[in-house]
Amino acid sequence: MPNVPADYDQNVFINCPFDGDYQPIFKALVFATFECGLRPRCALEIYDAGEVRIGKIARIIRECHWGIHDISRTEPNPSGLPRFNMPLELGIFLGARWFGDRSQKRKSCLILDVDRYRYQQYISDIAGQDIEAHRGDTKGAIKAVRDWLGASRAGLRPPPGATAISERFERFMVDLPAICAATEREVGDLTFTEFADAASTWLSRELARLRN
Amino acid sequence: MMKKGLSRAAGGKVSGNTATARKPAGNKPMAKKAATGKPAAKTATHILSAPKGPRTLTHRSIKRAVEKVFAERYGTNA
Repeated sequence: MPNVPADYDQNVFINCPFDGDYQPIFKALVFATFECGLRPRCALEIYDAGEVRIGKIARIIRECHWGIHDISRTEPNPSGLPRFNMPLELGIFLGARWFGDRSQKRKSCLILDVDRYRYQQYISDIAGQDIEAHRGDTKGAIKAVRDWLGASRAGLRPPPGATAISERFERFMVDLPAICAATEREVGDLTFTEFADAASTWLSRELARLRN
Repeated sequence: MMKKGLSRAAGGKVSGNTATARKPAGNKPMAKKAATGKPAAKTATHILSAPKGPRTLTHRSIKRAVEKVFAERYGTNA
């Protein structure tokens, strides 16, 4: 029995904050992943209350060849403490690559932060990984993901340009409220799976329109 | 084993008493590609489906909503 699913090479694990301030970048990461011909996965897929959360996250990580890890959220929350989930999930991903079988050793990841060298002040052990800065905006995040996947020869070869992806992403975000309204919902009501479904469906439709 | 008096042809195979020379690979006729008249697509052509997970909306209803938005924006022929 294979240790990884058949679509292992097409899955991208997105490990990032899920708070409201980060939503534009999270949505941009999901959209850019689809644009590059790959499938975004993340902890928000989890709904089975019978499975321990860390076990579910480890299962999704095992099913993903690629990983995008945003460790930019270092600010303390209202309780005065920072979130450690992102560094923990990055550690699981790197551990799978170190100790896993042949498929897991092929894992590749992109680490994102606000500035390229800020990580040296708080998680210096990850030096040597691909670390890129998105500077807190969607265009920076899209360019980092597109360039990394393109250089890794993942998904579409070559992937669309970062400017084209950003332009389509902005148009999708303009259309999204209307798509939600047609289903009697608001953008904030969408689950991760529904948002990803809307993004991939809109993108397929848009690319078909451009080809005609 | 090669029979005495027979020479091995370029391909190295001997069939009965007649050795047939193999054509050099460069002489193979090239398969002709049918001209479609369409320029090559310059944009991504395969977009994968969303992952499985919790949802309250079916894919069909999302697809219908996307089609509605495109029809309003670009007309029915978009």
